[in-house]
Amino acid sequence: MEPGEARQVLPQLRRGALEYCVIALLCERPRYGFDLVRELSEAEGLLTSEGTIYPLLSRLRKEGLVTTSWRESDSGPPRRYYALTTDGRAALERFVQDWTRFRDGVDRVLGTGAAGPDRWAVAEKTTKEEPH
Amino acid sequence: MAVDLDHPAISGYLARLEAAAAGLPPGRREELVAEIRGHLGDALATAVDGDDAAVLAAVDRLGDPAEIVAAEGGTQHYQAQRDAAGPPYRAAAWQFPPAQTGLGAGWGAVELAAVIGLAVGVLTGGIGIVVGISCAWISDRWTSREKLLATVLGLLPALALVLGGLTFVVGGAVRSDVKSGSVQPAPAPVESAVPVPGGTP
Repeated sequence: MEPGEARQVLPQLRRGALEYCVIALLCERPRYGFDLVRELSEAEGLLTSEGTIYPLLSRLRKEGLVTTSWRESDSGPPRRYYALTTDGRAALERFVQDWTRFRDGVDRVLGTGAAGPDRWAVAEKTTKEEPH
Repeated sequence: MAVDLDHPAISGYLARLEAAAAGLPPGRREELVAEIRGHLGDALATAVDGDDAAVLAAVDRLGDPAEIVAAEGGTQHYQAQRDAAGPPYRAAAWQFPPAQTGLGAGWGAVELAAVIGLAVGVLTGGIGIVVGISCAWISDRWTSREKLLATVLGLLPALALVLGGLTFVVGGAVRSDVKSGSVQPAPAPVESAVPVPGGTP
């Protein structure tokens, strides 16, 4: 695979996982947009353009996975809060199962699971030591 | 809030967002701009007034307005996959639709009609063949090769009928010839193999 193709994998993975990370955050309690962004920015590489969270929330709302309500804020204008629906919870449960299976499968093949990434460290070393 | 949202960097950004969002459904454009504006208010709530660097950083983190508007529709492929999967759970981006393999994978109503038409074509006096071949060529699932195969297979019975008729006519003529010469008649299909007396110079 070309290095250029490898770089394209991350946006695809992010696109699939991001909305479920948002749903998972809303599972704890209702949140407003900036609150979600603050939490997501803790995980590196998950949210590259903060503004895209709003189209995502709009889609989740259209799909009936979240509902919105306006609440007064201590500082400034009222904020729009997002809360998870029953469908949203069901979607999260399904995703957690799928994700675990997917992650374990990839880990098994790559050897990056509990057995550890040592295997790749060794492989890299071997490649470097080879004269050609 | 400490930073004025009328800051030129912010008003400029919101203007670009509004322009990029011109194609969104009525109501959604205003909603999106209001949400982004509220986001900047929250992001700059603790910034000191006049802190241009904080304003520029907050705007920069939001991303390109065109990218935000593009996310509004999602990429069409991804959206289609989600719609196909149905609520409440949608297929993730790394899940691919099942590959269409094996017999019947590329068949719909038109293809089925083509096969039935071709199969009963002879019984319906040739109408089925015409319908069958037409359906085969209308199909958007079969390849040109498959369509050609359907046509050839469909025309085979008609071809056999024509050949059979010819054989009967020619065979009959030969039979009447050999009968007069009191020779055992040759089987119909090999009538051309009967040597013509004095045919070779």
